Amino acid sequence: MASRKRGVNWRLGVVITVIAVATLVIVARLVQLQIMDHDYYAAEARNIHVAQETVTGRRGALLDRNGYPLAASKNTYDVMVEVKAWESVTKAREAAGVISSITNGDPTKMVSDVREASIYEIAVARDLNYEAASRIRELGLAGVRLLKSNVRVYPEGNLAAQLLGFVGRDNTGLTGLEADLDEIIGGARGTVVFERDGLGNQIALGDRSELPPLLGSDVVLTIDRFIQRMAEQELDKAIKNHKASGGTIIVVQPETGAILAMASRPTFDLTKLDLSDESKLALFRNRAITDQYEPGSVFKLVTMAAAIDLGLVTPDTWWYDEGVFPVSGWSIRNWDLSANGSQTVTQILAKSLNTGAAWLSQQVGSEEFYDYVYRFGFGEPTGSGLSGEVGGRIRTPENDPSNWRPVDMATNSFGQGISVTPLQMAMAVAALANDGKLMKPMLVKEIIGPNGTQTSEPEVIRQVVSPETARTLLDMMGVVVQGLSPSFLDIQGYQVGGKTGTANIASGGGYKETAYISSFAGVAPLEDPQIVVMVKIDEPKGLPWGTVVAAPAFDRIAQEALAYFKIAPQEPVLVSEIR
Amino acid sequence: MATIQRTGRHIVSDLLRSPNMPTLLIISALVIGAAALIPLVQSSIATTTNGNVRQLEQQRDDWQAQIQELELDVATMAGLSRIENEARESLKMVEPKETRYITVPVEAPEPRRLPSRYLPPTADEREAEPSAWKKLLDWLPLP
Repeated sequence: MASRKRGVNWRLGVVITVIAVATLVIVARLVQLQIMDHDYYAAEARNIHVAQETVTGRRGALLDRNGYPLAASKNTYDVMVEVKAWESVTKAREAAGVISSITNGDPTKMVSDVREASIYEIAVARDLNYEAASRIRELGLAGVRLLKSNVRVYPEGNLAAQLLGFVGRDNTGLTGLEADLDEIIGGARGTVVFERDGLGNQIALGDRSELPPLLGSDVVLTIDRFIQRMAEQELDKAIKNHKASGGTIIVVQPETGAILAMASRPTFDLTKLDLSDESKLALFRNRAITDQYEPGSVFKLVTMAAAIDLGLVTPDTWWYDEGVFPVSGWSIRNWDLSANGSQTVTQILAKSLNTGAAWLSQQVGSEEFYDYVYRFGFGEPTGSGLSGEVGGRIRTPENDPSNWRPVDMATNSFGQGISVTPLQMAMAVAALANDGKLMKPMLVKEIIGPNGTQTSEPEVIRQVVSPETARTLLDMMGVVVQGLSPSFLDIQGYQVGGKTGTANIASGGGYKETAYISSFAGVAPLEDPQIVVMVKIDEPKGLPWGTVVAAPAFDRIAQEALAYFKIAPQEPVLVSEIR
Repeated sequence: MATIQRTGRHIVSDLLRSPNMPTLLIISALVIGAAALIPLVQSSIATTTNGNVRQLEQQRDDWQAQIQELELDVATMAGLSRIENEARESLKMVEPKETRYITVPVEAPEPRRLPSRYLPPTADEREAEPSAWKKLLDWLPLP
């Protein structure tokens, strides 16, 4: 009996020991999992059950002054695949086959991309439209989810490409207004953290936290798509007709400083952007503000304005042109080497006499002359707000006393030896068309944001010359245009004014032999200026004169723009009048 | 026979007078079971509601996406190049050789603005209405 009891006790002891050991092992494992390796397993669990998604805020649109979108955003979807979900090749191929049938992608590449990825999830297709994205969503594929994004679309195609600029894949502005206004139109990304199920979908009552994205504001520009397109067409036409290397056209509303058009060539294809070719990077810059040139005779307007504003001359003051004007040992000659005898100040402008401009600058004196040059906005950026804008280069007795010579002022008086940007020149002429008030160039008309609409107000930089001087200069510009051949400039029904320029191109301390920049700055209509057009054509072949190369572009732009703005012509061209 | 004819009311009153343990246990179990079902039902309703909300949100996204794409299409159709191309190619229009000006005694109409609704609603509109999630969480008796 006793031995039987001992046997029972022994077996019971073994069972208890086994249970105790097993319990200890389990407890030890639990201690390891729950306490010692807690952080690791908690992180693993979070990775499996918790997803974090970046939500892209909608990028604001860039609209023209009438609200037509020049660049807008469209929602798109990227197909994201969780790498672990495609560990099985068979399942991965099957899923990739279905996805590629919708996205027209390469299923083999999809599978290899996912399987070679060392990250948690990878995009196998990008920028799908809503319909394609919906079809993929309906498939309910494990480990496949859609990430909302947006792409930039350009309803007007390549219009104002350099001015607008473009965005990168991360929707950040890289060039042009897209970059300069990035903080306004870019919005901000948001984040959503949520618990998810096995398919990666959000669990209905799971934990969820959200930092919503901020929507970007829409920006209404001062650019008018009609005027911009016309400017680009005329620029293309002038470049083609004269086999030029490039050019710029700017259209400004003088009263407000609003830029209605800003076109430059050569340009790039905004809709088929290629950032891989470094040789094309130069095409992205906005030459209206980044490239400086010697303006030539258009600059005589500045010299003339200074002399008249100081009361040193009037349009009818006489001067004798001997064909050569000596300045400290140098001889200034006219562009056609002519000697014109007795000439009025108006004739100096109309005939574009270099000798006369040099004489006027001497009357003004270097201190006053450069003061007026600066007052017209040359030598510093215009304040357009566009990045990359240069201020031009002016050598004066003050900023370069060791190198400046009196002949510099003489050549500066007719626009040589001085560098300006096309925008500076346009704004200076616009000041004459705006009663002598220099305006800050305005590119943004309104910002329409979540907190309301901000409207930009025109900003006067300074009164450059008196309104009387400005009016006198406009009348003189009218005389200049009257002296041009109607085959180059003949705007029916309107009085317009302007000044031509044909300048040498500086190169390596001298000037290129046979290369010129032809330009024309025009105002229309003369009695109540509504537009100022600056046309600059680079290196035209054949006759390089501004009258021949640039004035015809002004002619067509002004004619069309005045009709577009519904500015009635004067009586002679009116066919009928309904009262 | 009299016992057979006793009504439920009599059974309850008898039970209250002399409580029968098994019966009480069964009743308690039923009550506890019913009580346990309440959060289950509540959770089920919440899940169903959430599903419906999701479906409605999906429909809303569908419409918004369609509206957005259509309005962008309108903007693209209003593109000057396309209009000129249509005028030249389809309608065989040519540029006028002569411009005639006629003044009329009324102001020119303002150019028609395109609707700005080709883009998603502004933050104001979104903030004005609490999200479906927030509504759902507000409705639930959660701490």
